[in-house]
Amino acid sequence: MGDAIVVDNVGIKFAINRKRRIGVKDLLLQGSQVTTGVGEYWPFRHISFTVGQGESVGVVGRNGCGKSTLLRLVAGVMLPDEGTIEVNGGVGAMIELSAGFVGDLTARENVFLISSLHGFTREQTEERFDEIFKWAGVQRFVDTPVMHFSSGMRARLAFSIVTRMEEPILLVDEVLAVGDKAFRKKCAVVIDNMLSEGRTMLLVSHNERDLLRWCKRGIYLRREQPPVEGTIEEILDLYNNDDDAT
Amino acid sequence: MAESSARLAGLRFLRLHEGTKVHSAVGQPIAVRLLEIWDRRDVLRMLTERGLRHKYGSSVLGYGWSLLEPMIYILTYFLLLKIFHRSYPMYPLFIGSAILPWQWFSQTVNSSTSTLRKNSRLITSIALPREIYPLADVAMKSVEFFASLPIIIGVAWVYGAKPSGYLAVWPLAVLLELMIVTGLALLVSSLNTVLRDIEQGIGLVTRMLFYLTPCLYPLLKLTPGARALESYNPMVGIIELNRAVWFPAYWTGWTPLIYSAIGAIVILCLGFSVFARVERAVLKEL
Repeated sequence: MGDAIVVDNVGIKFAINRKRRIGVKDLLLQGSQVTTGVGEYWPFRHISFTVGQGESVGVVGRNGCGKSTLLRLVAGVMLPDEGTIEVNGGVGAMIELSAGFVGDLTARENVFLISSLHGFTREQTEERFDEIFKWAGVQRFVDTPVMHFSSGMRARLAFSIVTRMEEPILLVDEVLAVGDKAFRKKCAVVIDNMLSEGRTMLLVSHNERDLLRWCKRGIYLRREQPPVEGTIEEILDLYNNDDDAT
Repeated sequence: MAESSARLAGLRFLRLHEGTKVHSAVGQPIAVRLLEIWDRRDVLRMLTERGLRHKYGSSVLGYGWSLLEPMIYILTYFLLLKIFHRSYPMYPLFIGSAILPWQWFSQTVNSSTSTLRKNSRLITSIALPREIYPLADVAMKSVEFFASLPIIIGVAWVYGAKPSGYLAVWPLAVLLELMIVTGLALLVSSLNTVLRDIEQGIGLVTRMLFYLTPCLYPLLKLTPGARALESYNPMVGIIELNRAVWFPAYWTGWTPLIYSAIGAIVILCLGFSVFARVERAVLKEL
């Protein structure tokens, strides 16, 4: 049985200084070469881990340690500066409470747009259309531009879309944090079902209960230090103790 | 693999685009990228249709706009040059045959500049070949170009003009222009995310190029020195060929078109390779 996600010696760097001048020459000549210099920040480097098919792994870490960046790399919407990431199967990503909404499009247009980018035909989307809106509880706002949605509504719709894209791999970043109690309960049921279907999940969360409920394994990302892997209990212990130390 | 697909049998929908994806620090060869774009041509088509629907669907005039806009241009220049007594015979046809392909060029370059920024939400959520977004702009503007061609035919009909034998090679002008706008769209869209100045300056640059391209005047009327110099602009040969379809007398020979062909190949290759190189930095900026 193959692995769903294989992360091999991955690192990514950002420029610290926002106002740096990138010369056209640097961009074109340097290309993908890796240079280590001042003014660079590597949130993580030399990270390696695997996620098996049907496994659910939790990612914890302090703000700014690169959790969202890691999900982006796995989703393939950012590219690493070192190493490789192998992903077996389609990815449904919910990063920053958005499934990729375009603000000035209505919810309906967004649903069709995002589904077709996931490879659905119009008919297949129409089949799921009512279900998506009903689950999200935003049927009344089908023709409202998404930019007028509250963050809770946006999160519900995003979660509803992403889970119905039926991608075998799910990347979930802090969805449950914004929802109210009822929404969290509904999400939990959906996630339970998806995991029992054998889907793979990489979950970023600060919520211990959620992590313990779904994940057997955890990864603790530490700023500019090697990450720690272990059972979710070990990882949470370690994370909490680190927390107390500061 | 069989075991895992059995496990996923609960899914009602078999993924179309399944398979292993590798995101690596080492870039893929251009050929692989082209294959991936081809693989997702459904998305390219969908984005193009969406763009056209968005532009025309929500306006009263709809398709009328793609006819009206070039018509207004033709009329403006016609009246302007009439005032200065610099007109040529059948001047509306003279301008129109050049201004339509020119607008295709300038509008593609201008609209693709900001395309990655405008689509940033999709780009940062769903993994697709990023080239698709500027390519959708190219496709949209190409459709608009063909949709505006009836104007030329209409104007020619009014003057009773007949196309010359150059009509047979006109598809070459279309092909070369398509290559140029594709290459430039890839170039400006990717570079603009790291060098925002492009968005500010691109309008000025295309405006200047407009006067450096024989749209309002024939290349033939320039001094030989100026003509030779202007021919290095790859759009010149293309515009000249477009015009020669109706005005073969102004044709100055194939040299400018050879420059166009060389320019088109260089720009197209440059576009794809620069896009691939800058992509990593682009994704961090979005």
